[in-house]
Amino acid sequence: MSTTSGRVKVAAQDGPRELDPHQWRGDFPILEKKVHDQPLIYFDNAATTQKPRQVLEAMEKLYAEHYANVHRGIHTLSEESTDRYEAARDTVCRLLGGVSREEVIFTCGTTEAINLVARSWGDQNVSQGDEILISEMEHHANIVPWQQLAERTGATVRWIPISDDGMLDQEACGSMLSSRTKLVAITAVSNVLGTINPIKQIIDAAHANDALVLVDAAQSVPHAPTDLQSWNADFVAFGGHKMLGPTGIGVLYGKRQLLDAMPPCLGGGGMIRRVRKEGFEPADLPDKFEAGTPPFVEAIGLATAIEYLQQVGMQSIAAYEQQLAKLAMERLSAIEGVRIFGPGATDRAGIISFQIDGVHAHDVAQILDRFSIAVRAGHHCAMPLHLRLQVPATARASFYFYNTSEEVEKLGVAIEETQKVFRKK
Amino acid sequence: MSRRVAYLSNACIAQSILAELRAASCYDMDFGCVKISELGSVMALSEEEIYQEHVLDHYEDPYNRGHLEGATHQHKDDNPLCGDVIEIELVIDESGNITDAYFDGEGCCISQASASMLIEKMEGQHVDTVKQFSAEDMLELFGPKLTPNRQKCCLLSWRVLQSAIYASREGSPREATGDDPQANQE
Repeated sequence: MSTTSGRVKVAAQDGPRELDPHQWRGDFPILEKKVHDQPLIYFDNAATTQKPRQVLEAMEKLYAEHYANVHRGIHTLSEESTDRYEAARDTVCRLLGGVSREEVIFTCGTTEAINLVARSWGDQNVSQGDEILISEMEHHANIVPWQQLAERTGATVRWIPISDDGMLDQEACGSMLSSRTKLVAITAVSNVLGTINPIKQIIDAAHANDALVLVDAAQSVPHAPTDLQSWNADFVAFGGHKMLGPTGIGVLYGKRQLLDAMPPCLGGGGMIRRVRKEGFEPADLPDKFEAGTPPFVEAIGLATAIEYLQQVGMQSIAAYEQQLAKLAMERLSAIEGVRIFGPGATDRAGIISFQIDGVHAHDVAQILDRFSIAVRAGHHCAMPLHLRLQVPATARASFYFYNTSEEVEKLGVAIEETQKVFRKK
Repeated sequence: MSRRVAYLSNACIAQSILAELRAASCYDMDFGCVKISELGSVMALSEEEIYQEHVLDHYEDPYNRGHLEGATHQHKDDNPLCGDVIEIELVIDESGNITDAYFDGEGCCISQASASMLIEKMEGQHVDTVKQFSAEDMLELFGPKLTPNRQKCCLLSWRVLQSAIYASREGSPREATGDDPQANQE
């Protein structure tokens, strides 16, 4: 990988290693930024992550030295851009545990990836009376496309319930599966509760009912090893900007036989083999689903981000973030008047949504910002979940490997100070 | 508290706490490396800080919060993106005076405190005063400067009131005016 910033990193080893965030923080220019004269504490990683200079430099280098439109160009620069774009696809294939190039479609993000499946596969395979199962903890990106599909086809969206502590009700899920079930669309990790869902069991159960499974992996791929061979998922969607990459790039993985049978979603250049006045013939995979000039600079940025994450070590990242989450849960739950939503630390990724008694989440976020702590407040694009939790809004701290235990402690102190602002006279 | 704040001590944090804490006794607290009393000149207790005394007062002890029996006009709306809800109930007499005004709702400090301020200001006024009261006036009434995102919180009650004066209750013959309800909305 690029080492233009100077430091040469030790190659990733197998198995988790002790992760020292200070070894990596220097690569992130924005982490040197001060907000209100205090060092930034960035706890909004579930929304988007910060970028290491390696990613920024890789994209700048591409623009400065190799940039031309990809595919079909005969000239040197087009070859150079195309090679790097297709190499980025190979990097994604390796990240996902060795899937084939035809199964990796670049999209502009997780949302587009899910919509692509709903439009292309959904319109072709779902009809009146069919059912799509989704869970109560889904992000709107994994709700609305299915509601739209249901509107178009007359199918029904059914909701897999969750328990009060934010765990998927697997028993209910099992009993909801039937011959009517066409698809289960489920998040691997809740973007609000941090719940790690038992994806493998869900997929096995769905497959036993001849239903397909789409996994919204936007919150899991950036934070833990992903082995799609073991999951055996039919579709997997994730985005680049939540894993150190740029915005405007995401990935749809689909099993080859499914993608082969699906009609292209967008029509245009790049997705055709030939066009005649009478009609067109689509290109082979993966081009069939990549109409127009693809976000190839962003794809190259994403590949650089993936290589960076692999140097840090996906297993180490997962283990370290669970430690941070555990620490934060202990610190926050020791504060009277703070309520944490979701499961215990063992079933949870590095995401903690909470509420302070008597203080609205937006006020929490506003005051924490004065302590230069960036948290998100609101419904986090999960309105049905917040209705289920019976809260209008929560504040959410979400971690990445560059966060430190000192920052978690500062969050605890800042929450105590927030309570004092609102303490009644 | 002194010990804990010292943990975060630097000028900025001390300033923000200075501004956000209401207790006057805080002014002389030792924040570790910086004496907070030295910071008064750096940043006044100013518009920069949202959670000022009078805002918190309205939030914690709101004016006419609750339900109004015999209301002639009523409207309720929300900011769906943040979940803030405000309902306003009014009694408007035949000459168009708001003789009684109540609000209820839930949401952030800004949405609820601003509603309280608005109700306090508009009770006893003529509906024409409400119509002439612009969004800008509302932000001024609230006081602390707000970012565009938080302005929405502040303007919720203003929006609800602008609709409420046109929303006569069923069974209540009085209408404040026949004007187009959108005419005065910004």
